[in-house]
Amino acid sequence: MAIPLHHLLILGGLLFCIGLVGVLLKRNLIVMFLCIELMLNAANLTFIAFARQLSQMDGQVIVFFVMVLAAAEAAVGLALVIALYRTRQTMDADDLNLMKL
Amino acid sequence: MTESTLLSWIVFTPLLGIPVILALPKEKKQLIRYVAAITCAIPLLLGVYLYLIFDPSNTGIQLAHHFVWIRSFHIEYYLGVDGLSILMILLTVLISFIACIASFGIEKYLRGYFALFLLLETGMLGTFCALDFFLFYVFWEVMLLPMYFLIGIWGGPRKEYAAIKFFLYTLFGSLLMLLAIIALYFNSNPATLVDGTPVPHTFNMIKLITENDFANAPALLGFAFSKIVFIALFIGFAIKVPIVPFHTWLPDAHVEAPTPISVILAGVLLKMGGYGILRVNFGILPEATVWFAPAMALIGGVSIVYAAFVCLAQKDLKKLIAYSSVSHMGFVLLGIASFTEQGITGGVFQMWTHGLISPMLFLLAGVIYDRAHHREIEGFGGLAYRMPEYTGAIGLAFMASLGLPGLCGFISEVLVFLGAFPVFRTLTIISAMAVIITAAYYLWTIQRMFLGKLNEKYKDLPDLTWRERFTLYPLGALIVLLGIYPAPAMSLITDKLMNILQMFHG
Amino acid sequence: MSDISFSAILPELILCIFGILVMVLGPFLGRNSRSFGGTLALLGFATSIVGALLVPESAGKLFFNGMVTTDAFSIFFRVLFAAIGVVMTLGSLNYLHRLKLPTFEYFALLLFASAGMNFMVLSTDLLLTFIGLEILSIATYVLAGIRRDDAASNESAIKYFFMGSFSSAILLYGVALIYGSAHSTSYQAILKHAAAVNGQQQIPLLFLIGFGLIIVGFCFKVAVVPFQVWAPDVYEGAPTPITGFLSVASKMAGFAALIRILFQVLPHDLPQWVQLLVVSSILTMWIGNLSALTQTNIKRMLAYSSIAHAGYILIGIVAANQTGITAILYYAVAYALMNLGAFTIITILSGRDDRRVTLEDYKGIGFQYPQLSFPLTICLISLAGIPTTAGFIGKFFLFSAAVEEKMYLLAVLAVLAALVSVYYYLRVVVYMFMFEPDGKREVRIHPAAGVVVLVCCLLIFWFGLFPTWLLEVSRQAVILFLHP
Repeated sequence: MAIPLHHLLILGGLLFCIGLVGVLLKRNLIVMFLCIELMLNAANLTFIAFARQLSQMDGQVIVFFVMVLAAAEAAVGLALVIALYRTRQTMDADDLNLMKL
Repeated sequence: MTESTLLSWIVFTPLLGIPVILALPKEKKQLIRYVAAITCAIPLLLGVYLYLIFDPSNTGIQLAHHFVWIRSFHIEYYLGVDGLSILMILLTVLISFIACIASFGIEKYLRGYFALFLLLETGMLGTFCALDFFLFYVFWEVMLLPMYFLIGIWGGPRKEYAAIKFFLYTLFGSLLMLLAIIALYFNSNPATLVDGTPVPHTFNMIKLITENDFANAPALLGFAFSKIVFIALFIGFAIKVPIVPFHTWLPDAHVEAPTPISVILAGVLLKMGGYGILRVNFGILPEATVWFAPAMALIGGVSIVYAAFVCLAQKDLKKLIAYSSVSHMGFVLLGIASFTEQGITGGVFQMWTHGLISPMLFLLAGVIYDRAHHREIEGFGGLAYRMPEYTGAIGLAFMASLGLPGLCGFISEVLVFLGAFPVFRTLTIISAMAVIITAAYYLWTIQRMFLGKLNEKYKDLPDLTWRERFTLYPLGALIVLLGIYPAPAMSLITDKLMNILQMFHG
Repeated sequence: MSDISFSAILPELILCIFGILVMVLGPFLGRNSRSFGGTLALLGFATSIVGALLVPESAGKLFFNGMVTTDAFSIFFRVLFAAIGVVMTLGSLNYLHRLKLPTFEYFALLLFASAGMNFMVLSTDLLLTFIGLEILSIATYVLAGIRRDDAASNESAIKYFFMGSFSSAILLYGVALIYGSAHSTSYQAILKHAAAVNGQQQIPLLFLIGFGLIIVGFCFKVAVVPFQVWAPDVYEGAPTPITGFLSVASKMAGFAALIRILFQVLPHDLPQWVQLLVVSSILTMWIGNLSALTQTNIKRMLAYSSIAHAGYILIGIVAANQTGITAILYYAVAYALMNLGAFTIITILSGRDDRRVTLEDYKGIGFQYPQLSFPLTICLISLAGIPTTAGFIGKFFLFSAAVEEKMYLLAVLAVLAALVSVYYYLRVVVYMFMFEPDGKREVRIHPAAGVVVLVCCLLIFWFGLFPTWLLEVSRQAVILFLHP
């Protein structure tokens, strides 16, 4: 049985919102990072859902591109988090207050 | 150099001196000073030549230098003179030269000082010659920054404050002016550039004056176009004049500025406001001018009276002179707001006479400051016995400033009163009363500083030096000369002003 | 396929090849040939300028299956970005040496970032735009944190990373929704779809939200209110030359992509966006300038100033007339000159550990180091928009564009914001020239950086006095947006 398009879209939208709220509320850098990944994957899910509905390859190909970019981003992001942990011994976004607001 | 490029030469000669001065070694102070003086003397001589070849009977633009500058926005390089601007140009080259000689006493960062000074002169001359509105604005702003540095680096104890206050006040006005210029541009009629290219809009001031009527332009933010543009331009110029209540930058700037810069400020910069109002507001927006004239006269009257009273309370000689400038520039507004022949002639002539008298006053204030290192009026006494020549000079300047017959201040003030009286009766009478206050504060100052018991601290003060004489005597001579025989200056104004007047009456 | 043309992406190929070369050769050459990386990068950027000029300009023809355009707009920015690369390379050589930073990685990332920016401006497909943006972003995350053992640099990089990837995710979700609505990510197809839906009574929600998210994503990138909060921290903590790069190059790339999307893809009669952008423009100018007033750290002050400048540029976007868009391109060049000039000087003065960047550190250097303080003054007065500088002409045309469209209130508020800005620019000048110095300090001016500063200042005046050529080039570059 095929899943209707709008189910997938709603799931994608929910995942995106969870990720968005998570980034804004969570304070642990790794959790925030996972939330961003969640947002990206929500976009991916939406792409695939549309691609299937339109019977196109484009959307699926885009997803591969996005996955590659997400991986690159993850590599850089985690490296930055590690570098930060080395100098500051913290993972908490609230501790990033070296510069005054 | 041909006649068509004469104005460009006058405007940009000071600029040519800058690289020369910057290339000289720091230690050769005297050489730097002489180079600067020579660079200032060239425009002075060219100005005299300009006066000789200028045809006063021709009311149009003469000696124009005109070509397309920024084609993509229809901006032209357009310099030219008429009776109104030639007076201001002559005043500028004269006062600049005198201020340059007076700057010989500056010791700190000499090259920077003179480079900025010459840049300032180019800006001032350019403003008076420019007939393209964009070019006018560029020159107007060009003089802002050198002035800011000259006050801010070479000024007195509160120099940073005075410099930035001057800068922000003036910039506020000129940014309003910029918006007005842009609004005028987009509402102007199609015109042609000097090379014949047709363009949809124009910055050409002469075309804006003669070929455009902004009375019926679409409303702007709910107000009549010509009125709101008029007010924006007026504030821009009035801050420079300055008028009450936009005058507070002036005393600060004058008190902190070094003497030669005060001279330039009082002698030339303040005139730009009056010149701008006459050239731009009167020329481009005559209907709005008529509508605003009573307010303008009132502002003039308030400035005259208020500043005169403030003068009474001053303890610092330089501050006193600064406020008296505000008072005297009020006469300009009162005169030109009357739209009568005598009124406008008097207003313009007042700019000239004030341009001679107030520099002399500031030079004299500088003389005493150089010797006593303060300017407290109460701190002196009996100087007349020690410095008779100085006392004579300051007496002459004070008398000219309060309008003693036989000196040039008298002629302009009388003309203003004669012109304004039929139009604004009460206001003129009140303003005329202020002359009594003027006399009071000057005479009282003379009494406190020069008469009475000699303050023992100052019993060894030397009288004027030759350099000071060199700067003071020409001004004094001109003050007397124009007081007795004002025709040379008058003949330049009258025909041009008839032109302006015709726009209102004819 | 016949539309694969490598000459269409010649400058990007050059940048990537040089980037790879620098990265691969780096480990073999080792630490004793530091200047080699710089030389190679310089060569790369210079060749890329030539390459960009050689690209056959064609407004109508697309390459790579409708993904790549070689119109005048893209070429304008490709040349500009490569020129910024040259300036960056020359300006940071000495800095890298002074702080003992890894040169090869730095220059390789700079080349890649440049390639990413190029892809953003030449792409006519949302996917490629997104990829270009990510190439730029990932490279700049690392560049911001390249001082690995410096806490401020780390923090700056982390903040930049989170804000950047957050906004990328938002943007990507917007692309997904557009894809669902228009059935394609190519600009042409979206424009066709937009024209079709525009006739309908109600524009599909999917399409509207999609575009909203894309615009929000870009607003994050170019740091306009209300998406600007990250910028000051990131700019303050990043290594000084990189702060210059972020405030100039990546901002301009964001704007260029945004302009293309707004004017080439978005249906022209969507007034809601214009209204929102007008409000955003005003807030950006005012918040940027007012916040800058109280700053004592010059980098942070220029960060707020760059937020304000984004507001000025938005004026050109909302005016949406020929004057406005032409002025944006002119202003991009002017802004690059004055900001890069200023940051190059700040880099020179920043001292051994890149810490001497507060106003106090600038006390009295005016007559101590006239060869630095005068150019810095020129850059600052150009940023303030005082005539005879390029910054004035740019602001003049942007304000004119607003007046031309009868947006008087916007123009008045913009002018007043510019007035406020003059105060803090001049405050630096006050500290430099009107206070006495607190003793001597050692400042060495590397000839490469000196040349950069000199050229920037000369060009600021040149374009300020004779702007015709640059205006004409800018006008040519934006013609395609005016006659759709």
